[in-house]
This record gives sequence, structure tokens and C-alpha cells, in this order.
Amino acid sequence: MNNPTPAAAVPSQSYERWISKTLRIGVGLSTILMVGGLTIAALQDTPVAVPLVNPSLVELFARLVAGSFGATANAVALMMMYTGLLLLMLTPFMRVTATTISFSLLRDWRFVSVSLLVLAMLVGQLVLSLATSTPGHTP
Amino acid sequence: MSSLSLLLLFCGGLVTGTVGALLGIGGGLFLVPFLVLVVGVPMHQAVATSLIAVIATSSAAAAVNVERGLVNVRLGMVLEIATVFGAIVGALVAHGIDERRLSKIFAVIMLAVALLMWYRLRRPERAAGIQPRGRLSGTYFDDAVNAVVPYGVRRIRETLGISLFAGTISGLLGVGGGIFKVPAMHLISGVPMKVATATSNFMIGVTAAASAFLYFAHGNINPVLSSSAVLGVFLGSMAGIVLAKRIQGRTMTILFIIVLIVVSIQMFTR
Repeated sequence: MNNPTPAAAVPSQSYERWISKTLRIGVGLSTILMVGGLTIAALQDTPVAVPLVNPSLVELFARLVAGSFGATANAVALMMMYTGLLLLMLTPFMRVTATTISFSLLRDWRFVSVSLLVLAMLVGQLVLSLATSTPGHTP
Repeated sequence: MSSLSLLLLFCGGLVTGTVGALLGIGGGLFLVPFLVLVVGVPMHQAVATSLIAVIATSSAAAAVNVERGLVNVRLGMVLEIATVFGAIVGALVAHGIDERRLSKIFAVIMLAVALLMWYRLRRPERAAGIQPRGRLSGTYFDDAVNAVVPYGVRRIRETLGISLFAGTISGLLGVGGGIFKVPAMHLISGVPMKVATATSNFMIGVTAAASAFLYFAHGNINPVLSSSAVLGVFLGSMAGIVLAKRIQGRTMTILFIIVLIVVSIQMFTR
């Protein structure tokens, strides 16, 4: 091959492909949800009503687990946007988890520890956020 | 919120994302002033929206760069220890700072970024010459020389220190912090510029996620505003990456340095 492509010259390892796939899935799904929510909002006759008080993180996760997206088009649009945003915010968590698993499959224990430390800090702040989450005011 | 408002937010995000990607500094540095000065969004809400935009652009770019072998995943993970810790501290501190003071800090950082860009413009890229040694060393394919280039990493402690600062700034102000990390990786640790840029981009999504939930917990996310702006920045960044290959004007960079200085004065005096 006279003119090798970067991918051919430095073949990406299987773990790199896995990390890449995790990121693509996270961004792709969250984009679909946000676009969907915004489209529903834009198609309504009246402007979308943003609640004066946001649901707390715990309430939001509970609604998502229960699959309760709401009865009105306004509520469905908002829940789709919230879900898209949350999914996007969780994508880096999935990426660090994928990295940790990849390093453990490679038996690279030093970097498994490094990844676990990063993951622990991320999970720690998520737990702190859930514990301190209070409904806020949006304009 | 009307369809017109949604369109304005989307277009604003599109422009800030494109400009950010053209200059290689991410969209956050322009998105926050746009939301605060043009749309009239409270500072903390603008920072939260910017953090989510940073996650979107970083994740999309990293997906490509990781596959192309440009990211040093091991180095990125080590530096993330510092950036993630810094981001959590930054976000916690931000909620104790009032709106005006946070705007002033943002203005000072904008000015620092403008000076760093000016410095980078005057100083040519340094060729990396560190012998590949240790577990953080790596290889990448350089299009310019059409060959696989091995490289090493040195003085990791200093780069960790700067990454801690970059992470804190990210959590505090909603910017990626790549403008501080990339020169540190390149000039201090001897990482080739392409790898430093890709590795920094890989890291900033995780750094932003480390503080985004804390902003969410404080009720600083408006789903409609954030979704419109984030999608705009995301598409703008993709367009900016494509445009950057065609437009590499020194004049354009100087022009935006002036814009950064003007906007930083407006943020300082608001």
C-alpha cells in the first residue's frame, strides 16, 4: 500500500473501538431524544411551557425508570429533553466504565486502578448531586 | 418558550460552536457570554448549559479520534484524576459565588485565553523529541510525514498540576479547559501537538460530566434552553472542524482574539 490510511497504519485496538462505540451510542441517542423533544415543542400551537420548578434528580430518575413521560404533548416534550440531557451527561460515565473493563481485559491492573479512581470520583459527585438535589427555578 | 426563541438559541449555539472549533478552543468560551449578554440567562444556568455542550462536542470528537489512534488513552486517564477532582471543587465553589463575581472571573479567564492564543500565534509548534519510554508512551500516524511516529511522555507531575487548574476552571465556568491542557501536554510533557489536542478533547467530556450533575442538582438546567443551545453548539463544532481545514487564517485568529478581549470587558463590567 503506497498511501496507508491512519487506521491501517496504526490499527485501533479492540478496546479503542469499544470506547469509540460507547461514545457514539451515547451522543446519538441523546441527540435523537433532544431533537424529538424540541420538534414536539416547536409543533405545538402554544409555546412550550417550561415548569417554574424543575423536578429533582431523584424524581426525574424515578419517572424515567417508571416510564412516566406525562400525558400532554408539553410534558412528553420536556421529558424527552430531560432524558436526552441526562443520557448525554451519563455518556462520559459509560466511557470511563468501558475504559476500566477494557484495561481489565488487557490485565493492565495499574490503569484499571486509575480508571476506577476516576469512576469513583464521578459516581461520588453523582451521589452527592442526588443527595443534595433540590427543585430549582427556571425563568 | 416560543419557536422563535428556540431558533435564536439554536443559531447562537451554532455560531459559537463553529467559532470555537475554528479557533480550537471549544464552544463554551463563546456560548456562556452569548447566553448571559444576549439572551439574559443567569450566569450559573449559562455555565450548566455550556458544560453539557462541552460533553456533546467532546464525546463526538473523541469517538473519531480514539478510533484513529490519536488519543493517548492511558495519559488521558491519568490526567483525568486531576481534572475530575478540580471540576468537582470548581462546581462546589461556583455555587458559593454570586452571579457578578462569577462573571468577573469568567472575564479574567477569557482575557488569559486571548493572551495564550496570541502567544501560540507568535510561537511555532515545537517538534516533540522525547524518546518513547514508560507506560504512557505511544505512537500515532502523522499525515504530514506519512509515517507512524513514536513519542514519550515526561514531567507528568507538572502537567497534572495544570490539569487540576484546568479542571477547576471547567467546573467553575463551564469551559473545556483545553487551552491550558494542550500547551501543558505539548510544551511540558513533550506530547506531539496532534496527540495533545486529541487527548485533551477526549478528557474534557469526563471533566465536564464531573460538575454537570452538581449544576443539575441546584436546578440550573432549563431543558428547552439547554437542548436548543447544545444541539446548535454540537452541529456548529462539527461544521467548524470541517471549515478549519480550509480556513487557517492568522488574520481570523487575531480578529477573534480582539473579539475575546471585547467580550471579556463586557462580561467584567456587566
